[in-house]
Amino acid sequence: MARVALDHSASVSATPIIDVRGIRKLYGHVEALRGVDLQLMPGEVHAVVGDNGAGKSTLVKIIAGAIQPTEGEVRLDGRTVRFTEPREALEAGISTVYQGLALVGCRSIAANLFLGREPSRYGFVRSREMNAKAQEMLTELRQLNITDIHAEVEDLSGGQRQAVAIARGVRLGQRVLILDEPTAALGVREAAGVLELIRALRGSHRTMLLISHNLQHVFDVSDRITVLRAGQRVGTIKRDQATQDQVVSMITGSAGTA
Amino acid sequence: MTNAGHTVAIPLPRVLLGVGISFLRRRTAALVLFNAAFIVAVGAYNPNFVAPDNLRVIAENMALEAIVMVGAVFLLAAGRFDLSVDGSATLSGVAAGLILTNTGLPWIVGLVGGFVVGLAIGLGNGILIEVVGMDPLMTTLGAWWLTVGIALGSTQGYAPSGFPDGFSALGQARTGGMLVFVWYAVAGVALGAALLAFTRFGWQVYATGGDREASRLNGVKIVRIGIVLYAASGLLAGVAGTIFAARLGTATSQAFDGLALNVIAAAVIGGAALGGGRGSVLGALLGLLLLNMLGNAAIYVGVSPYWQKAISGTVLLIAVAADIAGRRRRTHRMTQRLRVAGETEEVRTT
Repeated sequence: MARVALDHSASVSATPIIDVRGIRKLYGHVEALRGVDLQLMPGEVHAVVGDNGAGKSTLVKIIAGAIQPTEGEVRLDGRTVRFTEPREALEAGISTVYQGLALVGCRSIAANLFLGREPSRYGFVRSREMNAKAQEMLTELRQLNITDIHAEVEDLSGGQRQAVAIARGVRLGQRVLILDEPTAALGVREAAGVLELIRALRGSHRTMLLISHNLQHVFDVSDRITVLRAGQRVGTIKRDQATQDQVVSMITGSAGTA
Repeated sequence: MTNAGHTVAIPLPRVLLGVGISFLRRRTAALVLFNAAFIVAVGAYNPNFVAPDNLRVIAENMALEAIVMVGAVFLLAAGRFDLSVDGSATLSGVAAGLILTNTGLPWIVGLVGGFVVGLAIGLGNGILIEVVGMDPLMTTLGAWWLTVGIALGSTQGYAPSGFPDGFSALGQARTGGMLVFVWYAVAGVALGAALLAFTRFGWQVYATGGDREASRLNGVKIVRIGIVLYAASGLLAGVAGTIFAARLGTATSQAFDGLALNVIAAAVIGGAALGGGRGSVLGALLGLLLLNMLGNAAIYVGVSPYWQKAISGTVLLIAVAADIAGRRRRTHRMTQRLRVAGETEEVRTT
């Protein structure tokens, strides 16, 4: 069996932007996460892979403040944080594009892009300013190919909805952008657009956490890969020191590592 | 990539058309036309229907319902509703009546007391539903029975009456030819319409009703919004109930029955959806106007008042049917649009 180069270098060279330590999460008697560690280094694209039920989405939701861990802590820039609401994570510059997208169907694209943060004066929404900003955002993110900011989200195709959610995530996640299965619901061409966008964003010193089933996509864009299996971390490896076969073995547990 | 994207994107003229005939506007516009046609038709049959005196009566009879309706529209837009407004209004009126007839305190205390009772009931509903997580239907039904029961029990069916002039004036004085509270209702409706349509709070109300979890994940304070809306609904019902006691000159425990369903029906006729995310104050007002005119017009066209409920029921059924038809048309349009986009893309790639 091939040796997998485990990466320990990153944790000594700099402070992780996000440092997840010993996270456990119980849902009733089901243990979704059993003491997971994860270090997200500034500027990297860090992929988390694993089989269904490995705990990827639970981990994402904990970092995003959508759910609270049973045990363990999350550190942001070395300081322990306890997000009790997604709002708090967003305020810290950590945004998440959930697998469920978290869009409101009956509202326009622009309203969804600014959901919860509508620009306003004396409480009144400045819709002209909002629309102009929305248009500007979508022009910058041309990889996503959204043109009409007034269309209601429920009138969009699955790929277009994904694009709206990603555009919003990019705007809010100035420090950390978490993408939970951003390409799973997409066609080949749309997925290529999302991957292109991830590569483009890496240049902007943004740290990204990518959850994906698709190892091809993971190898296309990520710097490091963490493998979860049954709620535990199997290991974290550098992308350029591993092959897809090795990662598959780590996911399925057919190879001994670490 | 860019080329392919343009084929998937929706063409601009269709977008403008789509925005122009957006569902809400169509419903409001349709109701304006329908109500106008109704007034003209009944007025042609019997000019007494459009006599200023009758129009004034219609306005005065619907004004207090309109105040309660504002709360109902906000709740429906947020995907909630409040059946307890009958009870809140009743108990508020009775509480004001008891304070006025038993304490000898200035009448303003009775007035504020009535408002506070309504607010407290609404707040209670809000906490039980949004914080404890109880079902809105059963919670507000329970609150309705409980509060009407308290009103009946505490008065033993006796209706306090004989209020100070200052208090009675709230329900009986006239300004500009109308009972004064009609103007309060106009102000309340205008304020509510602006709040819901143009403020951040209003936008987040719609978002909460459209998708609660999505709103929460985006930082919308859904629990706080829910509590505020139930509290507002209770307060508005308290205002209506207290003023109604002033209008009647007596605080009867049987003052309201069917208020909640009337205002919810009006809002649905006006374009609100029980599922949340849709509705407008103006649309609901037009719906309420229609329901009130139907009852009033029956007298002028010689239809027995016993038929009134049947007519209102028919109008409500038509409105709900129109919702379904509108949604189907919309889905059909979307499927067509996506198909066209897909075909164009295929042609380009080959």
